[in-house]
Amino acid sequence: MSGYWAGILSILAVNIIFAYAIFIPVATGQLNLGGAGFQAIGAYTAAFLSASVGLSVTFTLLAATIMAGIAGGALAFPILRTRGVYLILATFAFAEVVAGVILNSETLGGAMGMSVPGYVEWYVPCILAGAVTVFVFYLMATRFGLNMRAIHDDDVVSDLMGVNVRMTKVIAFAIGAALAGLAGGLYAHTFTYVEVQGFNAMVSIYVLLYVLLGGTQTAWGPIVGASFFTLLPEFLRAFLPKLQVWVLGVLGQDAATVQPPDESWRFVLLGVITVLMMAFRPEGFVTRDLVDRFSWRSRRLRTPDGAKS
Amino acid sequence: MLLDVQGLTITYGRNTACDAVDLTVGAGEIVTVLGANGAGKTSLLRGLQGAVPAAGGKIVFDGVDMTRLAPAARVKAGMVLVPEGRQIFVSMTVHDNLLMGAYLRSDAGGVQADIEAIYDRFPNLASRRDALASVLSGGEQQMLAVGRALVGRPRLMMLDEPSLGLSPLFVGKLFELIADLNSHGLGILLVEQNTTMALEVAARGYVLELGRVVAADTAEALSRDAALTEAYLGH
Repeated sequence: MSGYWAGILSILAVNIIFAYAIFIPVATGQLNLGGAGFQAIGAYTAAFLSASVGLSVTFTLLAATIMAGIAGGALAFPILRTRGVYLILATFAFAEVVAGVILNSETLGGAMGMSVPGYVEWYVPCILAGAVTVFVFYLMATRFGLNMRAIHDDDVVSDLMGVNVRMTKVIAFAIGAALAGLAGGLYAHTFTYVEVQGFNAMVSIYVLLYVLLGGTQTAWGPIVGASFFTLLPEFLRAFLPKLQVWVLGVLGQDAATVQPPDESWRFVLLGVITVLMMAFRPEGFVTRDLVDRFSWRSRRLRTPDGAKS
Repeated sequence: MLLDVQGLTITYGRNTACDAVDLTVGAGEIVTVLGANGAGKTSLLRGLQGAVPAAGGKIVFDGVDMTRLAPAARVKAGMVLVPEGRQIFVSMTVHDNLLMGAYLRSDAGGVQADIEAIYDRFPNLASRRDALASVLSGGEQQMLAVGRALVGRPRLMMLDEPSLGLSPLFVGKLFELIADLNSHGLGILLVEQNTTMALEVAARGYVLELGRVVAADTAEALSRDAALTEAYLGH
């Protein structure tokens, strides 16, 4: 496999895990805008243990997951008292604090970043992304997943049904943080270099977009959202120059005399697509109805015989 | 006495929603709480279920003091609230909604049997068990909310304005359902604005005004008291 595709697949796998990290709290009704903070904790845990302690990748990834999970659980207790925009701000502030601590820590390389000795091939993140996907689908089918969705719909009524709302929220938030840590650890070992600028606020915003635009009703949403937004810029990289030539051709100009499009145009198109999605499909690309339409099980149950079974 | 409430006071900040309310429901009895908007009826039910803490007074259910217990403990003891405005889980299927009602039960077989019994009672729900609850009509959603409460095997069901926004046909069906559930021994505390229907089905009634009980009598006496209905219920 070419280095280019190996790189794309690695990023895609990391982004899918990262998207599930945000999906789990979102499916419980909490927006987490501090994804980059948890990813940074995972990435720096893995980087530090690999560089300074010399642990193998298996253990650094495990430690990255656990560290971020603990941080998520510890943070969840105080901040899940807040709701809506305050919760978003609290998670956002947390990510900024993490970045600030790393930036001022000499042990972690400060603004210089850290190089990571342990390297993983592209298939490691891909296999783990597959495992995480299976795990999240399983989780959503359990009783705990049922509680998550109930709380997402109405936490007051869930409370009245006897669900331990607070504990469910904290656990969901911690599982999400742990997955973000795993994504961060994989990021560190894939690129063998971490710097704090790589975990900025835009990263938190993008991953939340993957999830919200992919769809939060089912576990299909994050994988579709992450794939679409990871692959789209790469597609546009190849497609945009052709588009420019075509537009100029229609306008009757000679393409050879004009500069090729700037890189930033890719992000303009990305932004336009994001706005269009929000306008025409605010519940995300993959909805429960869409999944049902392709599902063999629900089709069977809709037949009169199935309804009686 | 199934439910014995003494001097229950519920406050939101400086506002008193319920002021020293005394109320009882006997086993297998239907009791209704009447009152205009803002009389404190919903706050009373929320306080009884534990969604808001009691600022004073005592809630005794089946001889056990529930005043400081969490909602989960009250559900487990057999108190269940059907909240106002058909608060079902709209992005979950009908079946999953019913499963949520059995959240605190650990006997999967019994839950399955009870859910099947709900489907027998409400065929409209049975045929849509895998549909999202949001596609149900208002009346069906109310049936689902009642069904969800029944799956928890309650001994006291508290209904908050169940007839609100329902068609006359469904209101009739709903009150038939309440009477039928009661005939099987279920105690019912019914908060209603539909005074006539509520007093028809109930044995006793309380009238709330600004958080206080201003009248408590048999349903028959209350419905005869024209001055009372005029003054407090706006009819």
